[in-house]
Amino acid sequence: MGVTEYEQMIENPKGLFDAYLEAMGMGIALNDGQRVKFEYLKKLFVKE
Amino acid sequence: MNSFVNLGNSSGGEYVIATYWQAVSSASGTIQIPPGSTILLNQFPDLEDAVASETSGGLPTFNAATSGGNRVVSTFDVLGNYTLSPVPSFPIALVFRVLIVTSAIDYGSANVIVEDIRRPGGGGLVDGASNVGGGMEVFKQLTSASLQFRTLTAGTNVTISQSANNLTINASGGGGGNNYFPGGWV
Repeated sequence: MGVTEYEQMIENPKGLFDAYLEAMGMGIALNDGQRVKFEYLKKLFVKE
Repeated sequence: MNSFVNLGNSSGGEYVIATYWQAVSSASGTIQIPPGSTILLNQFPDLEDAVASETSGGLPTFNAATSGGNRVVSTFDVLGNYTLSPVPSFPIALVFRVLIVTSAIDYGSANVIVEDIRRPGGGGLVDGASNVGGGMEVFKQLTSASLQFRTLTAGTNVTISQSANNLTINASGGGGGNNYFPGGWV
């Protein structure tokens, strides 16, 4: 999967969040932009 | 398999709402407004204009910054001026939203989050205005994200006063004259 691809506009927030989770589960590091988006999406989808 | 979206800059004429953040290291100041954008206020819960976020590794966590157990609240205006209270430990990230033309977005920047929200409220963004009827035209033009209208100027023997919801036009003097009609004055 292409976490190394870059995503520009979040068209499918849940799909992107799941993609980040999947990538991290595979040990793929997120870059800064992806980390910011991941934290942003986490606020939407993870109940704390 | 999830996929990533790459829209390129082909949709350059459209406006979107984007979330930006900037690291700040003082209790008040002015953030740099992203080129091609207009700051939007009242975009966050409780009608906050901007959110002060904790940072981790220099990046926002989107968890509210606190100081002494109190949530840090930010004032913010359309010019990018902010103040933080109570004063937190720095750096923090100030998170705000803008209306921005897609061609001006630096998609490679870690400081912007662009969601595909092109028609907030389900109604669609305003992209202009029109004058109706055959009279003088009040609406002038749309420039960037701003609708521009002509102002009203009082002419001779006319005053115009402005209140919160009304413009009042008064005429003074004159009046009482006779009108000439064919066949004589009436």
